Amino acid sequence: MPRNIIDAVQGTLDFLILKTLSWGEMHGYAVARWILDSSGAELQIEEGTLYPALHRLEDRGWVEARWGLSENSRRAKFYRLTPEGQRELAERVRDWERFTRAVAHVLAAAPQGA
Amino acid sequence: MGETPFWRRYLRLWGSDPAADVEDELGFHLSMRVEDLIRQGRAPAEARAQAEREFGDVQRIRGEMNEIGRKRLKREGRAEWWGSVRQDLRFALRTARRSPGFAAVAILTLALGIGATTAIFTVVRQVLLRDLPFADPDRLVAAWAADPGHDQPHGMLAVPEFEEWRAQGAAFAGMAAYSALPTGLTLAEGGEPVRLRTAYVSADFFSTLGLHARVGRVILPAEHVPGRDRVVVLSYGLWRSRFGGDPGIVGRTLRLNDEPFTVVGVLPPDARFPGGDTEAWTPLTVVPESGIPRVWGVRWLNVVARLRPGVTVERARSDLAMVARRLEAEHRESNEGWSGATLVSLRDDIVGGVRGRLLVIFGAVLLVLVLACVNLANLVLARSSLRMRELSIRSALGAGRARLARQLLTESVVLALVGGALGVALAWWGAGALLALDADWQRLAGPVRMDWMVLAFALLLSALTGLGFGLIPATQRLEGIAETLRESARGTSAGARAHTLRSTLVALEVGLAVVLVAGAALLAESFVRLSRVELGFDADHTLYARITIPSSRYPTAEQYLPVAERMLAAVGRVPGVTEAAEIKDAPLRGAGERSYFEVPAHPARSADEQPVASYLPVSPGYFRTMGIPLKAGRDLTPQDGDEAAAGVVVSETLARSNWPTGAVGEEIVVGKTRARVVGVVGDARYTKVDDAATPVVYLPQRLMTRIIVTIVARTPGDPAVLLPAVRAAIRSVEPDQPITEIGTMRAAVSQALAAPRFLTLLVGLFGVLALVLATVGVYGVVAYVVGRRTNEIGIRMALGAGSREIVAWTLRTGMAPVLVGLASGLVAALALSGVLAAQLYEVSPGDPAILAAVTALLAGVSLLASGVPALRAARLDPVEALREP
Repeated sequence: MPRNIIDAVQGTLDFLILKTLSWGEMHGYAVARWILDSSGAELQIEEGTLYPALHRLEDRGWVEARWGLSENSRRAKFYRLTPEGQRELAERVRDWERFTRAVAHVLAAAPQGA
Repeated sequence: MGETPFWRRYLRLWGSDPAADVEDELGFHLSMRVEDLIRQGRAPAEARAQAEREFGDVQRIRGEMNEIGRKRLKREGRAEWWGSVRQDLRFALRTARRSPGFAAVAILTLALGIGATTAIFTVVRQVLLRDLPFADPDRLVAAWAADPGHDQPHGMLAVPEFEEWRAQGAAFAGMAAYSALPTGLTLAEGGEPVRLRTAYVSADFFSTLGLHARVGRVILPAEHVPGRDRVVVLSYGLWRSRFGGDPGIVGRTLRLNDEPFTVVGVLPPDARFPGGDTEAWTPLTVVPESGIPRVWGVRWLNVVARLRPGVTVERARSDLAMVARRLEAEHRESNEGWSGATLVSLRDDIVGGVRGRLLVIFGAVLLVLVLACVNLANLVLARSSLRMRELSIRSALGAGRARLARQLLTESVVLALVGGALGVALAWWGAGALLALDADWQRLAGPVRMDWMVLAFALLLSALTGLGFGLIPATQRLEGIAETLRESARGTSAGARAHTLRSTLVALEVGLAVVLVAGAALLAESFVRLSRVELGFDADHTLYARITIPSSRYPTAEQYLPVAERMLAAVGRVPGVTEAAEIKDAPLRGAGERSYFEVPAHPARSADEQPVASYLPVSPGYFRTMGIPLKAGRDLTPQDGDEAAAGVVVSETLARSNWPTGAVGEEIVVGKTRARVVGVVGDARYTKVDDAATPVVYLPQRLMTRIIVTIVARTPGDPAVLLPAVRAAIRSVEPDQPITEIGTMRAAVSQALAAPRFLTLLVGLFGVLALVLATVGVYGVVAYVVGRRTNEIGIRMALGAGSREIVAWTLRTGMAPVLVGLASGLVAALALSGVLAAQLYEVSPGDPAILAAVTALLAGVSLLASGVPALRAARLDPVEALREP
């Protein structure tokens, strides 16, 4: 569980990146576009914060990178989930679902005899 | 932010450039976003602005990513470094396994060398560097009265004198006195009575030293009063060994000297002062007045004092000297001549006597270690031709010189660490053995303690040794790689450079060996002289037993003599004893009491000229018993003990210096007694074997009655056999009489020589080791030369050189470094001679005969060592030799 608000934000971003990459290998720009578009512009993140996050994920071994050519023949860095990354993603999804279920229960519960 | 500056791209030619990659990645993102926005209809400038806004703070992001990149690089670098170190270690182990013989020799040599050095370091640390158990020990000093006119810097104090010193010592924060009489309290606790080594201390003893009890308390000042002074503090060792660490020891009553004493406390384990083996501390007042009078002139107290902060030793000493001078004027009779004071730091007092010996040994063992390293370096060099090919291949495959050097050093350091680990085990055993063999060291050091400091020393020593013997071959080998790749190593400049290096090492070995062997030879000669010293008495057929008359049963001096006489008679009746007599201190077991005497025939003109002698009370027949020859006159008779017609016997030196024409019949005044010299006997050594024979005045026991008596007995056979019977005879007169010391005089002589004997043996061992190592080194180099230059030898033979010429040529090559080594070794030995001088007896450290003999020995041995491969060279088949490349 996140220790403080920075970790919470960082953790969520990592979570989203991992999920995005589970759809396949893509370069950093594509990851950014996917997250921003899928969230329906609800999530206001600075695009730039993605890159340090991607590099940290690479350091932790959840993501691996290679240099390649983009669809318009430009030099770009492509990222892809590693097996450890997939396991981490699955675990975080489980945690998230458990969390939201618990919150939903509390919201729906009413005192006895009300 | 634009595209990556073009020059950054080209940096990648020299390897990856993470900063450029970061630029590329961020640049890619921005340009893609700008393109998207333009496609959605924005103007290029607007698109750019929006893209940058949405991105965020580019500088900060760039900085963050570069930081991540830097950290990663550092991490990977560290992992790579560790990987290469592990590789080095694996390789080192594999190399060692491939030549197990060399590895075994190296590890064994290192284990011995590092073990010996660590053992001696342990002893040095525990003896010389130990923490004294006192508060602020460096402010503590030991003080003595000094009689400069008679070369007496260590005089003990009389009780009233001590009290004056203490009253006037403004420079001191505290002063205390103690006496470690050889008598001591006797513990009678059922079974054999045992004498405890006892220190009799003054009221301020514990507070001046800052010594606190571990169990219970120390003696209170109020208890230093007769009637309340039957209290005792025990040593930690005694508490554990004799009383089993009984927690109820405080308050327990012990029967000491036939009286009940109360135990008030136990001192901590390292509180071994005075003497290192003191077992009990009790007030000075316990010593009866009849035993030692508390008057001027009876000197029996040692003084220890604490300097006030800021006061120097010299200032304190001159203060005390002033007091001494005043007392000399006020108490002429007893203090004439005692005009000074000697002050020494307590630490120096405790360890000073053994420091010289110990440091000589430490120096010697370090030399042996260096010698062993040089030998190993030579050995490693000898194997270099095999390694050369392997190393040159690795170099060709890309290993840098630093990397290869590290590899070679890793091998030697690993060997050294393994050897060092073994050495520590050896050291633990060795330190114990050393302490067991030298009584002084054991007394000062206590039990062997291998703690972190010793282990750190061993580790450091191992690392340095490994670097030491690996460094020279490592640097040397690398220079040969380029040549090796170009042509065969034999007969090239690389071979020549290796040869010079090896020759230098051999010269170094020979030099070190000269120093060690010379030291050993000097010590041996000194010891031989010492053991041949004319003792002046017969040590082979005599035994001695030292007792203290039990003062509790016989409180006055008048009662001592009859008891002593009864014991003497009993010993005289033991079958096998032909003669028996008494004296206060047997030779080498004490020095009597030193004091002035007067010669009325020619009185001294000043205090400095006043003659001094040691006084010893004896019974008639002493000289015959001890085998001390009578040179003139006669032995003492009982009538000589009559004060009105007192007679004394004097030693030869004393007679000659005071009465050159003849001493018998001359008058002499000893103390207050006028006496006549009735006889002159030969000189005998009473203090130490290497002290000049002291002048002695032998008095009848009736004129000088003392509580301490030594019974000596003579037998034609082996005196050791009679010891139990003598003990029984003494006990028949006084049951439970504790016997302070009993043994043969031969054993006493041996004990007196124990320290120099041990030193000589140890350094002798090192000398032998050095000789062996140097010989092996010389042999190695000459064999190497023969092996390398087989081709050259074949050519010489083909050109007509006979076997004699070949031998001569080989010997010349081999002996050249030896001669250099001999010369430099001699110079070094002479330079270091001062270090050894203090340990030598009647031998000059620059003794030419010994140095010449040592040089000849090493030269001869080296010649032999060179001779074997030289002869082998002469027997080479020229055809085979020529065939070698």
